[in-house]
Amino acid sequence: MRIRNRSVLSFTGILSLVGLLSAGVYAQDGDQQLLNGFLPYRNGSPQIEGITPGMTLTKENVQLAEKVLPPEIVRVVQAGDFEIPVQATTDFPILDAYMQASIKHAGQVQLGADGELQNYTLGQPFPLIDPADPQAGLKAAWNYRMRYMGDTMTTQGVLRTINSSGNTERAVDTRYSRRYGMFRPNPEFNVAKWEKEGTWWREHSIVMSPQDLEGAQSLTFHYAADTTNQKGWAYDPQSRRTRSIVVNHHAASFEASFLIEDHAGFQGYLHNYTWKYLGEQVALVPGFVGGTPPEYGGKSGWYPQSPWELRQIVVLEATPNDSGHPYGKRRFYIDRQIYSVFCVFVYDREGNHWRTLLHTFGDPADDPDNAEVKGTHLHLGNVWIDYKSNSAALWTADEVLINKPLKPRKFTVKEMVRLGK
Amino acid sequence: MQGRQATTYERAAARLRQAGLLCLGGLVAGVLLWPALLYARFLDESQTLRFNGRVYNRTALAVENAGGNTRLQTPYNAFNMLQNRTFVQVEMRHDLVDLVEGSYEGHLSVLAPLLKPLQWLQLEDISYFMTYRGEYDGVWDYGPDVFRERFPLLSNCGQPSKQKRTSPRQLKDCSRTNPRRSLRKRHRLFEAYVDLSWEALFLRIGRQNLSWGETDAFRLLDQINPLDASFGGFLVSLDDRRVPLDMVRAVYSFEDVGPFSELNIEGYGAFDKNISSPTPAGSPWSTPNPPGMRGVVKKPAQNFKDTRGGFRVTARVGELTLSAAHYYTFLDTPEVRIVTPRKNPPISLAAFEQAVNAGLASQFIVDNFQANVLYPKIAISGLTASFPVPKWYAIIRSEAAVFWDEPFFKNSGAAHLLGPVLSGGQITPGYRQVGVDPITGSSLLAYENDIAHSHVVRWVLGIDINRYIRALNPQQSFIISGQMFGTHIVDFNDTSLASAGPYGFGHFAIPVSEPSRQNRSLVNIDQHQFVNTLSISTSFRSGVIKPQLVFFYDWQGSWLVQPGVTLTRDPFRLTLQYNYLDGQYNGIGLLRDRDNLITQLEVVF
Repeated sequence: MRIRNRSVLSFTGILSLVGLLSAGVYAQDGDQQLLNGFLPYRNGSPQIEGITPGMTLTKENVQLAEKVLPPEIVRVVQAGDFEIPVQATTDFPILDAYMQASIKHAGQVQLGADGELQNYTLGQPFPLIDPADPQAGLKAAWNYRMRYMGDTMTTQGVLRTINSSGNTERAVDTRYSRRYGMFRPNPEFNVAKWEKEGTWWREHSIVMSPQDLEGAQSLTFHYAADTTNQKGWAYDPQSRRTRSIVVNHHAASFEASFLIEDHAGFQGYLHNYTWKYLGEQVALVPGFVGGTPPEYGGKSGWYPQSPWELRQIVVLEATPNDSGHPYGKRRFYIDRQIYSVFCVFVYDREGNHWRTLLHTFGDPADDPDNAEVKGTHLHLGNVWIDYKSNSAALWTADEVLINKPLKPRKFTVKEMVRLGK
Repeated sequence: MQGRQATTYERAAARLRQAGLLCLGGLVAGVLLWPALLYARFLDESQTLRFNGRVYNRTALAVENAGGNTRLQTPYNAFNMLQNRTFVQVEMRHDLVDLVEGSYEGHLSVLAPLLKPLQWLQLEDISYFMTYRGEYDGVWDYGPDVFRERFPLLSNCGQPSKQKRTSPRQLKDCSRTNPRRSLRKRHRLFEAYVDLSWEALFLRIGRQNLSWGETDAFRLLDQINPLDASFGGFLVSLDDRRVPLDMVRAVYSFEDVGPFSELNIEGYGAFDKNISSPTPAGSPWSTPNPPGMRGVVKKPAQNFKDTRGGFRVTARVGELTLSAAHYYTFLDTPEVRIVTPRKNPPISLAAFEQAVNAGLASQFIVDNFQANVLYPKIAISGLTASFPVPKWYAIIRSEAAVFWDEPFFKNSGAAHLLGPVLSGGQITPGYRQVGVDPITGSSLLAYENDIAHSHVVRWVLGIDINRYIRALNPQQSFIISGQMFGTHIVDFNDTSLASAGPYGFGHFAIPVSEPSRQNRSLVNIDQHQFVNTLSISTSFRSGVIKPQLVFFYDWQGSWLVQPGVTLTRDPFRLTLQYNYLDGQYNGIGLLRDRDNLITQLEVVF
């Protein structure tokens, strides 16, 4: 509530006063509210009657978790499709510098008429969200978009299409790299050229196998401005050419059962959706695992077998503004602490549940390759279950490297030429 | 006789054993390597040495009778086999950075001392890549009879006719060629190169393919590597057909310069004698040729004069991706120069007349003329531009190129070579008198056909659209790609033969027989040619079922319709494809009598 009042003040043009007020206010009780958001478990883990670490939720006792499990999950547990072991809540603080920057700049960021961020410098743009704010949904979406994921990331993993019999129909092994170039908690990791052109981050992926796709590459530039179209290039090993492409967020990724914009939960343009803030709640979601790749089982081998845990979750709904979008709406379960997506539930335009995403994250402290990494998690696996086609797209990481040196030059068209055949 | 049969059987058995061994080897390699490599393709724990590969068997069945004008003569009826191609490709990629730096830990560390001197180069990246390709086409061993025997090549074998369909054909005293020898199997170190990278410079040294331009299916600026058309022509993907060349290629990055970002300059020099492999007469994929004479293919030499090379500049300006290129290359389409060989004595007109009067004209031509197949080295300059149209989920691609001084074959009358005989001793076009026979007093003649040259402007405008058609596929988008190609011959000769005289040279043509064989013997080409291509593809069941429809239309009046579907179940791919060709006898219509059904089973790892 205090945030909104300050917004009104800033709207009247007393910007300097706002700055002073914000600093003063947050130095007192506001700081506590902000800290509660970033450190939701500092006063203890969430407790729900009947749900204790070590137990397993089955179709016989899943009613115990009906208030904290998404209904789409309750249904499949009731059907006996899989069981959910429960573990204690993992307290996983976000990077301290990111948190401090978020607190320091809290209240200074605003949304423009076009939905773009204004006055954003660093950290989480809207660390406190008033559920009554009509823009609460969009603000939460911006928090998700600007979450801290490290400065660089490299993963190598296999995407498998698994049919209803649990058999792998297709598998694609890819190496993926991402580098951020703006808004870095450590300014040394900003890339001057990228800052100049507004490139927030770039991603590159290359297929390692099978042979008929081997060498296929994609390079995408993501811009800080949500209304700036992403730029993309693709290298086709068949034609041996690198070509400019239109990044069609609605197209299926690797022809599997999720869209390009479904990567990492959501990677599309915010302005193409109407965002509805459904509130904050304790929910049971796939829990953090150690450094080993997660295991999947249950019906058709689609469901994560690692324990789930109670976490403070922001629930967000996105409805596409484009009537031609394949989805009717999505509901996101976003972790309050790290602001990454644990689950997404996709509905078609007729209102039928279509797809479910379940992410599995890991703690870098458990991985020797990433033991020094602080304040961000490892993306170890995800599964997109498509209930219409009765299949799933399962990606599991063989290797994840966070904050290892990746030169900006690795994210250029010339690099695609070099890696091409 | 029995001994001869035994030898034949032994040879056949040996061929079958070889074929079987190749197939078996591929199968065993696939079965053994696949489980180990599909998800762990690296052969060392440091993940620097990687293998990939594929094995496929493709069968093409004719679904119509070959045209009456084909020189296959007794070729195949519907559902005869045109191809049974087994293909093995194994790729190896080895990243040497850790070995050179001395930080490698693993069983290949024994190589580190050998590579340590490379530290002096202060490389950022170093790696090498190798590809092996093995190919075997069983149609030459267990296909229709016509492919197992030596092919009647020269015009002294007589004109083809369907009445001569015997098995095996009995054509006495006929010069034959043996395409089986060159087309049956092949083992190649297909590509082998080293990559070296510094801050802004990238070098690739070795046998490699290099593709420039923005087109699909047909090539404009993409003329650097020759194509191998010997096993299916344009019905086979470009990547399968490229012939790698020994070359040095360099890319230097200037990063941002003025309004340009990612400004790169790329250059190459190829020191290789390989040129395009035309489809030899006797192949199921060869176009009908005029009555044959001995042909001599002249390959480039490995010297400075025949070195291929050029440069390209690429950059981005806002949404535009641009490139400009200029290079020298050998075209895939040969220049056919029919000559009386210099090493032979000149033709005696009297002897020529005597042979014609005795009905031995074909033999005389075979004995005294030769077709020199020359691959012209020409310069090509071009520009490309592409830009996105996000609203349509589309990319617009464009390309324009000038082919400088491209040679063109000129049409000639059906009896052109007989000109001096049929015109009562006149020196008809192409002939020149080089002397007089001191004994008979007859003219001594030499011959060389007329080759014209012209600049040619070629362009393409294409659009790639990626969007949903929900009524057809609610779950996956469609990739729709359309292209329009234009070709304009600047200095065009459209003189008809009638006005040039019965023994002259006329209209630009390709050296392929006209099926009608009326007043023209060869197929004329148009000054302005246009071809449209359309490709539509999507996938169902998460990429397991991938249908595709390809349509080519050549404005000279011919077309290709190519529906196909690929079914995927790792590690297998099963492709079914139908090739329907029809229309005028020109352009893609030259293969209008080769409609075929293809099944391809592939194993990938």
